[in-house]
Amino acid sequence: MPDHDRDHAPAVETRALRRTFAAPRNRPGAAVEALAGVDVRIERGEIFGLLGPNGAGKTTFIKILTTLLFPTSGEGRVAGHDVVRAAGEVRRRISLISGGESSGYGSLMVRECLWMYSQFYGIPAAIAWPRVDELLAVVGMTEQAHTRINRLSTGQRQRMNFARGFVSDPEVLFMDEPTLGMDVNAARALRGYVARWVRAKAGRTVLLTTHYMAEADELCDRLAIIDRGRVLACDSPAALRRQVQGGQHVELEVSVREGDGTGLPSLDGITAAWGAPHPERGTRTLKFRLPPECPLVDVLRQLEAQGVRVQGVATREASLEDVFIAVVGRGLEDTEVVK
Amino acid sequence: MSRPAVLAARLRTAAWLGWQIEANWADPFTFIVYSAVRPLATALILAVMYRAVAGIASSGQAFLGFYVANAFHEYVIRVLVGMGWVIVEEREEFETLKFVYTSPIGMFTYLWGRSSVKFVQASLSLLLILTTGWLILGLRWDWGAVRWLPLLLSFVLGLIAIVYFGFFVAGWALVLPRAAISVNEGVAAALTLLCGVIFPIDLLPRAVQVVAMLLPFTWWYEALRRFLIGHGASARLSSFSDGALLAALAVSTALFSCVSVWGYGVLERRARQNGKLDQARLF
Amino acid sequence: MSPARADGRPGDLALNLRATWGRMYVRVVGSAREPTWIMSDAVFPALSMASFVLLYRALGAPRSFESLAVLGGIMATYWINVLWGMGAQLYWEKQSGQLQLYFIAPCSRMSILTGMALGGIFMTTTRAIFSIAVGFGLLGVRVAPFALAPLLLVFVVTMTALYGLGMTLASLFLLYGREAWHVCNALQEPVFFLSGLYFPLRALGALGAVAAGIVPLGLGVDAMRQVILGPAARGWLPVRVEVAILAVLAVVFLILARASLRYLEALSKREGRLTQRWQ
Repeated sequence: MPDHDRDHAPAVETRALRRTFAAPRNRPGAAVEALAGVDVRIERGEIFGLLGPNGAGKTTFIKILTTLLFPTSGEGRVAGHDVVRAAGEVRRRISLISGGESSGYGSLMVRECLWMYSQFYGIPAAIAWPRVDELLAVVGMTEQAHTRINRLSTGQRQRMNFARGFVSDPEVLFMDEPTLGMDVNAARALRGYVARWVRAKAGRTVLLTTHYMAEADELCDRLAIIDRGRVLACDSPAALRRQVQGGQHVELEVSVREGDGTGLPSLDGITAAWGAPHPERGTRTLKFRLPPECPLVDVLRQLEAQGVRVQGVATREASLEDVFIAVVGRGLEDTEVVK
Repeated sequence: MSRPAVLAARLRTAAWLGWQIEANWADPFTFIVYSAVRPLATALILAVMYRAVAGIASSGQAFLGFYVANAFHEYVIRVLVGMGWVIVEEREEFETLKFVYTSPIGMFTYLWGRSSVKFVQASLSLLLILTTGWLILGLRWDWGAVRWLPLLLSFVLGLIAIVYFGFFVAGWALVLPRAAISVNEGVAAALTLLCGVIFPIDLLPRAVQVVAMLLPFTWWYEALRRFLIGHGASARLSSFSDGALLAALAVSTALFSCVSVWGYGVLERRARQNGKLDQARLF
Repeated sequence: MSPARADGRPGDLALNLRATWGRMYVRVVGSAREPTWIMSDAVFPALSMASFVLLYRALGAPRSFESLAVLGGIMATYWINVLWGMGAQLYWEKQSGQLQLYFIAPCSRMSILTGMALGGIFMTTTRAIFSIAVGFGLLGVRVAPFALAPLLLVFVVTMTALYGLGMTLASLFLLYGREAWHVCNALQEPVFFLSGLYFPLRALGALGAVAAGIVPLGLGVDAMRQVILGPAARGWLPVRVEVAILAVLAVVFLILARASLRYLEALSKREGRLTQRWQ
């Protein structure tokens, strides 16, 4: 691809990207298909989210795009460069932040450690040091700038690594569950920074994987819902929500009889899922989308007929979680679905 | 279940785990080669050093004493260092120390059980070194002159000292994350020097000799030499009768064991106070 | 230094030099900030060296043998650093999650390894001063005056070959993971033996010749002993020949390290092992 074309190439583009992990020696035949042909196009300047349960293939997708893993087949391009054939060019343009990451050399001070990472990207000292100081202020660690890494708390190490991701001023930033394990305030502040960072300079792009619906909703311009290595839906959060509108989203708190906590009640024409149990009240949450043609009172009657006592009713607008349930067939935390 | 039965079950579990961790990375043949290579190399270093000066000035009998003590030093290297290593491995690599510590198994029982595989390895190394010396290097002694009872007694006393000192080393490992590995190795190197494993303690400065004589291992090596090959290495220790030698070994072992248990307790409390028990920073 | 590229990012030479300095810096400052490392890298090897010197004394060996053992003990610290500070390092880096950050960085992997090696040599040299103090101070071992320039030349060539081997070993860790750690563990003392660290290399005969062709430590120690001790070193080959062999080994190991690192990185990326902590 000529250079001027690359300048206008999407930030990330994958075509039929597939990755299969060979079976371990002790379990022949147990090969895992982590990505089953993923097609994604992320434009420059976007914050793009990948939403999916554990094992959906999100991290594998990021590893391939950050040159840590080869795809089994298909093509992946970052800023117009092929991730297999032009890995060096890809690396000059990317950075990776992994949630829960706590790398760094214990004998270095925080400021030195971030400077060290900048050197792996060849950033001249005159640029690196001011940038490091600025990032330390962003993550609220100016006071710890001269603290040794091995004296930081886990949360501080995570924030330091968050800063590390920005130290090379990447074109495309990959964030794999970036706020995993962070406290609420720190996570919110860092999400705010990511949004500002992307808008501050044309062409900066973020690819984010997350478990947190609210994080995806707040940050992402577009979202792909991925499950078992396949993209099941891809659109803006608002457009995705619209897909599941046209009915009320209902959550009923229902009483569960002793020893009868796992079976879902059968409801005509409704796909329902169990939410979290409330053992202190002996109840569980039943979630479903109520079609326009089906009055809620009919559902309540059906439940009564099955001996299920309804203790609370709540209705609300569609959320990303509803989208997820509608698209994937189960919630991020749920495993059980009935039709 | 009775108390001894519970203790036996816990020891068995810890020993089983020790074996799994020690040997599961390789097939048995590779593991045996791996286990044999280091002790054999150390023995060969000594042998070639001896050969290099054999024609110039040396005493074959003296060298035999050093060679034999070096073979028994395998217990110090394997068991003592291994007990400290258990802490490092559990805390910083597998990150399971906190679960062991908070379980009812007890750290002493656990360390004792885990180090049992090291005892087996050390015994095999001992056999290997002595056999190599006997068959290949021609380092021989009169089996008829071996005094088995005091030899066995001193061997057991030394092992007790090693195991208890192992607790102490494990205690240091608890308070010294990162540095613990080297401390373990260093203790073995320091004991080689202080206890006169491969030379007589008479060559050490007088003040250091006093320290050496406070350590049970110094008496242990001397006793093992005297009862196995018929002579010790140190002129100073040769003035002790057999009974006095055994008594010195027994008393120093008892004192040393008490100090080690006390020391472990102090270090464990300090580790707990400073939050080091689950500090996984090395790997 | 190479100019910046058209896209405003640094050229390859600048990038790799900065990466080398960045990685070296960790060890340079670490050598002063981690006093416990002084114990493992300096005090404990010196204790072993002292034991071997006292063994010679006990055996009534000529004093020149004690000098041999002291020089061997000093070089042993470098071998320990090569094994654990180079060979095992990428394994530690992987376990701490650091390795993946190196592998997504645009600098060459050799620049990272070079930084590690230079930092390791610096750190170990500061530690070797302790062994020198123990050997020549406490133990009273003496050497006659010697020429410094040839010694420096032999040292530099030996270090290049030795750390080149370390770089090759480092890449093997990507393939063998935990098993390679055991290999490292098993290599320490046998290489002490096969390199004649505590006795003249020629005492090993043909075995020493074979070993010298694989591990550069033995030839390096032998050449340094000859420069420092002269005929009392009981040298194996003439110094010039040993330096020439070491230079060849240095080139071979550096090429081998680069090739094996590339091969193993590709293999790991195919198998998905590069960032897997437990294996």
